[in-house]
Amino acid sequence: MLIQQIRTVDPSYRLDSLGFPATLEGQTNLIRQLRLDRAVAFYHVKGEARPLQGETLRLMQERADSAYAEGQALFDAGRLQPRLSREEAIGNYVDRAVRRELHDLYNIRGIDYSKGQQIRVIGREYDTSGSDFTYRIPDARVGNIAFDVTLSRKTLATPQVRGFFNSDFKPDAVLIVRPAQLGSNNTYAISRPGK
Amino acid sequence: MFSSSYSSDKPYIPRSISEIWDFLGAMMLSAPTFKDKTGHCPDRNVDTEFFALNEGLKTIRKKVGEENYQALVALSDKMRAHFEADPEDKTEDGIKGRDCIIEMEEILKASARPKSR
Repeated sequence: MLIQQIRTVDPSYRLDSLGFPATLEGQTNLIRQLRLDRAVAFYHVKGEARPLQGETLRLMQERADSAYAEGQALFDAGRLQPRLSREEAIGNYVDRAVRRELHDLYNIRGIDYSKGQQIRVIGREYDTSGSDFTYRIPDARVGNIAFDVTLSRKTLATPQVRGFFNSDFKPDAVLIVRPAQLGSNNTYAISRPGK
Repeated sequence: MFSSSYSSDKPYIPRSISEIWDFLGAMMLSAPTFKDKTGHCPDRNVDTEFFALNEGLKTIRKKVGEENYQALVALSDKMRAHFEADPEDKTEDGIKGRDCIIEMEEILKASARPKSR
């Protein structure tokens, strides 16, 4: 079904496989890869970023959750040097682990995330509306959505979030991605004011 | 195993100080095995990770200067030896490997800082 959906968008799509995976892990990975390929097909062939926004969020959430668990375990075992507070130290590594994963993901699928593209990983997003240009750096941008990985709750009142909305690409929403271990409503979207 | 017409066979190589910074941050958490937790990169291991790191260091060689570059490469080699000596992350080697990451971060931070005149 997923393969059919991809071929509807891109008839030249090809999947090389040594057969259907026997293990649950293998099957899950295959479905994951196909969902991502479907998103890439929509982006490359039709220029639609929406499916890729969903897959980007999925990957960021998965990695934020696993990185947070790793960071907690390492910190508690005394294997992360406490140069900062516990949460700051773990948060710092979670952010970086998620961004590294995005670089890897986009690279593997041939998605250009260099300057000027619709897809960016820690790219500067300028606000040229005033006399002094300013910029903000979201962890990621996919089309008209900015993504921010964080341990703390952020709202429209957070200067960083307001800065994202003021940037020239005028995002429709900012997605705040927080590890699932932080409880319900860990990840949420802040819509553009007035939308 | 499977691949598709969208899969690239080119490994990800971090290509700026900022990307290497993030790469090291991820290594800090996933050491010493560097196994991928997301399922997107099932082939990731010690070899692929240090290949990417060392190739990435080459891309910033000019930017950080020869002396810093050599220090970063030496730390990368030292880090690998420590992690390989402690595959279960139970001994001092795991901590010493992470200390190498912190030393590399210090060099990168100093290199990224604007030079005073």
